[in-house]
Amino acid sequence: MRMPILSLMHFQSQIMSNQVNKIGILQAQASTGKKLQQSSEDPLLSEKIKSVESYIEQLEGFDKNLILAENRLSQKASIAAESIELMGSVKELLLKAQNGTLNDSNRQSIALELNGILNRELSLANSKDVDGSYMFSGYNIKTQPFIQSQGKYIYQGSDSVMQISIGLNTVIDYTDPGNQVFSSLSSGDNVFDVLSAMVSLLQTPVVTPEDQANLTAKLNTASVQLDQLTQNFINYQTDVGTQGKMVHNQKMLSENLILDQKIMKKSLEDADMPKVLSELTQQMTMLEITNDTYAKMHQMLQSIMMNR
Amino acid sequence: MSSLLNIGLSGIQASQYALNLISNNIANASNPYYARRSFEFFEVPGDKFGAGVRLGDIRRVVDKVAEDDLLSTTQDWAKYAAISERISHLETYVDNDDVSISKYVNQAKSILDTLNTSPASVQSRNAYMYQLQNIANRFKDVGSKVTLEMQQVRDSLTNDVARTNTLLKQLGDVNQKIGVLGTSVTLTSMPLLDQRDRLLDQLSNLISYERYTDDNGSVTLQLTNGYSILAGNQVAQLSIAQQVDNPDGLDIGVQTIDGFQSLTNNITGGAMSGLISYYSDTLATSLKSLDRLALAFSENMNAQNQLGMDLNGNLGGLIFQDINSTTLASGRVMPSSNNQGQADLAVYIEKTGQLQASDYVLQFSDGTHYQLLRISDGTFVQTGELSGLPVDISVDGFMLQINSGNFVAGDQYRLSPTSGGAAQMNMVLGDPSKIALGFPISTAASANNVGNGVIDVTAIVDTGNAAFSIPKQLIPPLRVEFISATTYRLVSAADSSIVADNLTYDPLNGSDVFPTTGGYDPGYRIHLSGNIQAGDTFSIDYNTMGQGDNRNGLLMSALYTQGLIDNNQLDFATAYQNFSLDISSATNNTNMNLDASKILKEQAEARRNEVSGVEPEQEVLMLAQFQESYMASAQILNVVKETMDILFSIMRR
Repeated sequence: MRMPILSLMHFQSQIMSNQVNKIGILQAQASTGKKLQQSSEDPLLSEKIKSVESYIEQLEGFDKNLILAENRLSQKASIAAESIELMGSVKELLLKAQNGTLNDSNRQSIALELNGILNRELSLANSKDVDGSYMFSGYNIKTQPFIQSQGKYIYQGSDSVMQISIGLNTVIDYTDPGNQVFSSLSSGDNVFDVLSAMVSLLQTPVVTPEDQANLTAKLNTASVQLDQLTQNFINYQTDVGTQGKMVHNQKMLSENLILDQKIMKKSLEDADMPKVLSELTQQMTMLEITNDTYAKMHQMLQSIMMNR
Repeated sequence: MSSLLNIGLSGIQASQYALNLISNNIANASNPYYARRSFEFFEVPGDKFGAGVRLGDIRRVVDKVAEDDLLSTTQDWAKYAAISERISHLETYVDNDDVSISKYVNQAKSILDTLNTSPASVQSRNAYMYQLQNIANRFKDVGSKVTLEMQQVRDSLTNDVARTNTLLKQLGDVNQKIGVLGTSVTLTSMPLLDQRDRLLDQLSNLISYERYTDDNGSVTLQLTNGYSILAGNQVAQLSIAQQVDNPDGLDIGVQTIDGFQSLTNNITGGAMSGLISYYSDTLATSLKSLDRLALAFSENMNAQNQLGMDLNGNLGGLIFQDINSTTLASGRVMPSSNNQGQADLAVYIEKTGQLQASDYVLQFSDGTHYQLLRISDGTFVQTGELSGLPVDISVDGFMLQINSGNFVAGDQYRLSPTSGGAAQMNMVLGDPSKIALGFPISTAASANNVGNGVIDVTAIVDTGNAAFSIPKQLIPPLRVEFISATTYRLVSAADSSIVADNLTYDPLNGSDVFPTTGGYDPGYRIHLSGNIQAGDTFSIDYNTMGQGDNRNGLLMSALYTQGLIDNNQLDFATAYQNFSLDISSATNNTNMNLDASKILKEQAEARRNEVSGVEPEQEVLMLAQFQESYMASAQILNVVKETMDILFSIMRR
């Protein structure tokens, strides 16, 4: 007859070591709040979690550009609005100038006001952003969009629109070519040349009836051009508004998507705390029992050895 | 009387033997390699009363099946135990977020996207450049971690081989001593058997083998192919093969007169088996995966930068070290040490998107007939005849260039296209203004155009074209002149010469200008669209003023989310994730196998102990029993003595 108390004790100590390991894992889960401490514990689950993490990183990566886009569009919107206002003022001045009862001196003062508006509009067109780059030069951001040369206003920027990314497959226009914003598409005349022509016209003294006829004709032409330019600004304003909505939608979409993904990530990676804690209590109890059993066996062995 | 004395003496002697054996058992109770001694007593036949007792067979209690089982479960367990801690450490390192190249890559894209909003900003350019440097550093770190691990595994294996050789020698000695003592197991040979068991167990931790016991009691150990590593006192001395012919593997074998004979495939257990498969299956494969990703990242970033224009108006150059320098290209080829012929070969990477995570073997069956074997799946990807040198063979994303030399039947060359990708990821761009975010071409519609035609640059395809041969210039700058609504010609803006005439324009769908029907291709692509009238013109020139041009930057950003790796299926972030998860999966497998094999080993241990183990409490009980029996036998002698005393006293009277 063989009495395998030593084997039984050895077996108990193996059980204890397994229990201690299990407790270790549960304690790690309890303190980090995460199901997995290492990817190797569950590679498939870990792969899912990492994919979601990566997606979130990519989505959040667009946050800065979304803010830049919003700021840029609001700048453009205020420039468009002001330009339309200014065109409105020009229209009023034009109507005034078309009044046959004016004299040269009256017309001079109108010309002076028009010049003021011209310069204001020019400064809008040559706006710089916070980096010192021009907003309306297309790609030529270090080149002033409009300069004056031999009495004409020349556009020095590029024809292309510069775009930026605000989402994984979404871009918006960031700088615009000034010759499309500040020129009329149909006639090709830019607002500065038109205004400058008006100023010269009103500064020219009217002496003969031919001069008067000339003045009236040219003022009519200017009026038509002004309408076209104004329409252009209005179209631009609409465009900017549409893009603004797009950015806003993209922002909302992105926020919602990020939130969704974060919730999913939590559900994948978080440990079920109540479950963890109750299991932990269970395992601790079992460890105590095993330990007691081990101690009793040890006592038995000792008594057998001593009592003879 | 004498028979009584003899009976008593035999009783005492037997009890004494028993007590000795039991004490020896107790003393060795905690020796795991000791097999308890058991014994039997036989009556000594004699005249009508019997002649006492004698000690019969002393047995060393063993069960061969239980022993063999313990050896094989130990070999199995040792395989996983050898690598479990190593691979866990590697996994912790690679799994760590701080090292995660996926994270860095995602950040790089975000930084680039913001840079693209202000391409002239030095601050933003610096930020992107630093991020790229970070990526390069991470690649180097992870790469060198894996390479270091490979070196340490090799060192560990070297030690294990030395230990194995020592154990085999010791076993040979013990075998011989046992053989000398003859076939019957005696008290003298028993400790030797215990010692042999100890050595066999230690050996099981290192290597797998089958054990056969010969008639004369000596043990033979064989590998799976029947090769004997121990037979009598003949032992094998193992060694590790040179790495040059198999850089991805560790090879164990023996040196024979014919050279190195590999035994790796015949070793299926023990620490050595574990280390060998860890090296090849996990480490070497993972390293290739990482190297391939590094090459793809460098190559794509470089290629895209070279198609663009930088802040200074110059064409972009390299961002990372050129992956196809002649040094790197020839370093990817390793001639076998047994080659008779000699040749100059090089491997150039052509399409990183099609690179496989595998090495190749180029082998020659004669002077001109070759076969190219892909090691990962054992397929021959190319075979052919060399009709004359030099020869280019393009396959799996790389080009093998055989420049010169001669080949003899049996010559082999190992090709490793991915080798060193991560370690050589050096950033050569140091000036952030040289990040080429713009297109070198700018186009414009004339302000005098009557129609509403639009001209766009759709792509830059080859900045090596002659059109770009002079810095910051287009050769020639062009004017597109429309002769009618559907025909146009290309005129040099420099000297008004006609470059291409009678070109057709499709107002409905628009037209791509290059390459022209006459074959003129300046290395870029232009698209015209809209309603164009006769007399309308468009200009095409070098983009001298385009500091804010981010078109190439947008293309660079798109690279981060395209499938560019492994037959163009994976993007950078996912490819790194796969690399990391492969190691995690391997760790998971190892741990599961370790747990399972540990249970089997422990069960085998328990079974063996059940048979051969000493149970002290039982021995102590027997000790008490034989103590009494000794006293009882001693009592017989007392009786004899007293009887003799009575006799003597009677005789004296």
